Amino acid sequence: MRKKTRICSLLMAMMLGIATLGGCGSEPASSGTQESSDEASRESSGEDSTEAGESESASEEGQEPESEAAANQPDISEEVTLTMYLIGDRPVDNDEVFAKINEKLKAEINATIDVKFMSWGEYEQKYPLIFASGEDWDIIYTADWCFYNAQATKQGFWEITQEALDTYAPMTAQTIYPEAWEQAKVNGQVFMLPMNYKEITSYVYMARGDLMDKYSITSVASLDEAEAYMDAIVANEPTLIPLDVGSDYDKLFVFDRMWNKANWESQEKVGGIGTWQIMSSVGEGDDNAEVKGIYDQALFQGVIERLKDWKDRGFWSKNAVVNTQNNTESFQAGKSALALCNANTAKSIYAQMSTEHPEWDVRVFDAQDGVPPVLNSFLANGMSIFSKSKHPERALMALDYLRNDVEINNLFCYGIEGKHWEAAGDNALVSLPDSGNYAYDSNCNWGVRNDASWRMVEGGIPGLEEMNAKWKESARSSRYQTFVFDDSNVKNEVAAITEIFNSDYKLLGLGFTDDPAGDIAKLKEKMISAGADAVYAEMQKQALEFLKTNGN
Amino acid sequence: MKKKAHPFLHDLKKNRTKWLMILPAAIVVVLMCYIPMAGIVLAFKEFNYHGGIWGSPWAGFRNFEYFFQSGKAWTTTRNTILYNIAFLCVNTLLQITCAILLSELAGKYFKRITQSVMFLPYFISWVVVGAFIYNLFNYEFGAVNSFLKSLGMEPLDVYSDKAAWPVILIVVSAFKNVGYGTVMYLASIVNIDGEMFEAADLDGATMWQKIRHITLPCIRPTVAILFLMAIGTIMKGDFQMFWQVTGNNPMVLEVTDVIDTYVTRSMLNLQEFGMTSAAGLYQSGLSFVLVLIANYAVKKIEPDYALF
Amino acid sequence: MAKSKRRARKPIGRDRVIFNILSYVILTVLSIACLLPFLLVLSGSVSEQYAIALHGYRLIPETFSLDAYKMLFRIPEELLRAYAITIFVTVTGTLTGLWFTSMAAYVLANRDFRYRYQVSFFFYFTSIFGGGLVPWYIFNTKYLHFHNSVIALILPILVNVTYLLILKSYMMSIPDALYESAKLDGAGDLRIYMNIAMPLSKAGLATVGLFIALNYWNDWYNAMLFLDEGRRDMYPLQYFLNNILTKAQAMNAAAARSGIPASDVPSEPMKLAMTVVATGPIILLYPFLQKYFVKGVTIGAVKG
Repeated sequence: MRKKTRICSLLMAMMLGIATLGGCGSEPASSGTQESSDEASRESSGEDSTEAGESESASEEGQEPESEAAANQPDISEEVTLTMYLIGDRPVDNDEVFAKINEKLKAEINATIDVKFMSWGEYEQKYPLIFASGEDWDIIYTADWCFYNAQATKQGFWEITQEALDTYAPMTAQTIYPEAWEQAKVNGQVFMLPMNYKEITSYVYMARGDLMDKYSITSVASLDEAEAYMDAIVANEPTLIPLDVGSDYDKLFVFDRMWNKANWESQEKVGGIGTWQIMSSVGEGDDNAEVKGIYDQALFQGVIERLKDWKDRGFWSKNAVVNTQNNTESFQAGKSALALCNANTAKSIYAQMSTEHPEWDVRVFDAQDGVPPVLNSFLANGMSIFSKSKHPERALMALDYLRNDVEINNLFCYGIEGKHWEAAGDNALVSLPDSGNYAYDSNCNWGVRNDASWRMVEGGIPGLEEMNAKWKESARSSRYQTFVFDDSNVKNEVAAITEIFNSDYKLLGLGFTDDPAGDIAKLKEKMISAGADAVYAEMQKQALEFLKTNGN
Repeated sequence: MKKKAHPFLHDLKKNRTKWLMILPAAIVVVLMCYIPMAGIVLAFKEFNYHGGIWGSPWAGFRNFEYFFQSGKAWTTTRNTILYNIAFLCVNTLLQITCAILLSELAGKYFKRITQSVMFLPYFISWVVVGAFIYNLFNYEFGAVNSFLKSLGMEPLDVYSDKAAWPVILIVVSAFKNVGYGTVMYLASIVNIDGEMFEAADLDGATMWQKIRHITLPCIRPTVAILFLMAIGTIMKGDFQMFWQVTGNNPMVLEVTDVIDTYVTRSMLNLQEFGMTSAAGLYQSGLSFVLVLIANYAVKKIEPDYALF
Repeated sequence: MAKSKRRARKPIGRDRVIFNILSYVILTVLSIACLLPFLLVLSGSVSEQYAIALHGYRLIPETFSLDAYKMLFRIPEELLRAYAITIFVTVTGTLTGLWFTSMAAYVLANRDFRYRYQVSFFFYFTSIFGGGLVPWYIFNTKYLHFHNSVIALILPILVNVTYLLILKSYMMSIPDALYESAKLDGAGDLRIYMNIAMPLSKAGLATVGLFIALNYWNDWYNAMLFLDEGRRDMYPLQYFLNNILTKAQAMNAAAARSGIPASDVPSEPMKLAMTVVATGPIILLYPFLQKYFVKGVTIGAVKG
């Protein structure tokens, strides 16, 4: 008898399981409102760009949207707790900071935020899973490098319509950069509030002053000067690797320097378009938007030949492709003589190095080499709302405050004033000793960075101020800055191409080739058989449409 | 007259204790494996969160295409199978040898210490193993090259040498699993009836004869079962091992790329569950066919050794 | 007993001498090969970061520093709690798993059991086909409510089909005659399982038990999937450590593509110290099991 009931329960468990598995398909169908609003906006997606243009002019008129919002004041009578996922480790003082944020949010929109973290070691695996699990949460950090496109096309995010923005996030509606809003569109729909922060990425060299003096090098501020410096190192310092690049972080750093310089000085001004893994490029002035593989561009071979030359001369390790350490880490450890990194990274390690190794006399030089730095994509950081959130409107309201309310934004980005930081003028701050428990700009607050309330850390590298000024002045956005490639028609090809990018292309990018012309031809052959032509044709089609709608 | 019950129901009744004894393990397997197995359907779907597993639109065989389109299907399949065969042969030989040596040795403390020590590599994670390999073979600083240079010899560039990696991987795998596998065979040798050895001793058998005629035949069932289990996973590569030990080195990918590393690399940014499922199904399907053949062959020779 | 008798009766032959020399040599070499990397780990874990970056791993540390361990034990309660969780999960999981596995293995090893091939197939099939991570995760979180539950750390690896079949093969080597005589004495299956199969497959049980225990000890994946960051008090040891280990790499990759600051990397010594911390206690388990791996006594003992 016992056995029978056991077996029955086993069978029941099985059937229950199958039924429930089936259930996860039918359940979302009930959220029909969401579906239909998606549908509606998809139909109107053709006119989206004009709509955005209108909204821009509307916001210029000032008060109007706000009064409109006041007319249909959102209902906030129900108190809700929003769950927000961030990436990283919980700072020691996170809960204290968010208690303060919540105090204010509670008063303003009758909501509080409960922060959950996904650590760096696991976010790649866990990120997609929390969308699938049916867990109850509301807000998440996202970015173009952090699954924005993938989750948006899989309907993981709640669509933020212009209307919703006006109603629930009036402050954002007024302040958001129109090009950021444009960039966030996936198939004409917006699923993310990109950071409100114009970020330029500019590169610097860090060199050892003691070695420079020893070999009478006065400056390392261009590729040629870096070459001379590294030659001196190779000739005289056998225990040092001149520039220890090659990790996932900096595999293509030197290539980028050379490639950008060569193209900036050329007629065509070829630049990348779409995602970098696709290796697609297009001439800036080409109104026909002919998309070609970067390896097909005239200047590519020359750059690879120079890289090969540098590699052969021993500027970086023969095993650079398997490096796990960044070039900055090697530099800090005294293993290499030169570092190449972005200005922010340089800033964060400069102080430490000056105190630990004053005898090295670390000097920082502009590595842009005359190439104007490019404005980062706004999508490099942003915040999104879960498509199955129970309170998407309130989540949007909360995001509005996190982004635009100076007090809340400062709390999130730098911690508690007087405890973690102290103002130094209008747009700088000084970190206080307690900042170890809530470090500046490192609580995954990047999605709500806002130029209006942004503060830099005071002090740092000599000469950086001037460099910064120069960069800011020359910074520009490329013609295709806001172009987003929709790869849904060519997914298989993109997967195959990504693979080539991760293997053959990265090898060339570090100069690992005995026969540049031959290996480029081989790369091209592989790309063609992976379906690159179809991808580039599709991209050209979309690029032309993009040019048409953007009117330039 | 009562109709004769179905033989299965009859057995269920007759051997109810036996069935009950299987039940706990069976329930775990049903919950953890069989129910989620329905998710295989994902391989034929274009997944989205609204539709979930069942409601997402069908994709036909499109999810399988990328794998074959890449031109990597053949290389990775070949590598996966060849590596697994090599691991199986080398590891089994080494483990059986160690097990026999350990079982015959008298020195109690020596035995204990060796056994424990042989288990140590098992605890060193692949990340750390990868770091060791890098420190051994690095061109500029590696221990091997420092040694060669001190002898006035030419340094080796292992990281661009395709021939070196199969050897390194096989050695590393043997080294990591030696303790683990040895225990398995040791347990099997321990199970052999002691009287058989005593009888052999009386007959004046030599060590070699005893090993050859008693020990080896007696551990055959264990070898057979592990062989069949290995066939079942012949299409799967230990991702961590290949990724970390080679440092995901693009220069030698041709000889170190297995299906699992390939899928991970190309899916890192795409997050296409359907495509990953498709690759998994391809691996399972092929393994399954091979297992059926192998099991059939084993059953022909010795039914007791067969898996099913 | 049996062994000493044998030795007393027969002088040590030449073959035995050669064999002994050979095995001492082989095993010693192998042990050194296995010990060496671990010594490097130990020495590296008490070195300083720059020493490793500059000169690689050394057997004798150039400089001595306990910084890595100090970092790991910065909050000793956390690490100790992680140990406690891991030990609890390992003990519970191993005992339950061994119990379930051995019962099923006993039945499948039984030549009287008519459906043993079919049932073996039922189990084996799951080691080839799987539904993939996503469906598995959905089912476990939505319907089994694994979220933040200790069951999630135990159930997924409770029954390992490979071990089940290995144990079955060990049990099949028990002579049928023993079962037969017990049956004639009127013993039921449970009785035979308890009194004959279990004691006679001690070595097999020790082996499989060890493997299950190792799986639990080393598992961090299920913790990663099912535990929230807010439940740090439930983190098992390996997850606790793994989190620190993988953080730097992922963070740097992200930093390369956006304006977020690159990480302060856990140093090389730290990685090695983690290996030491994670290996420590479990390696002590093995010597306890070794008494079951002595040849040729088990069956005689039971029969006697």
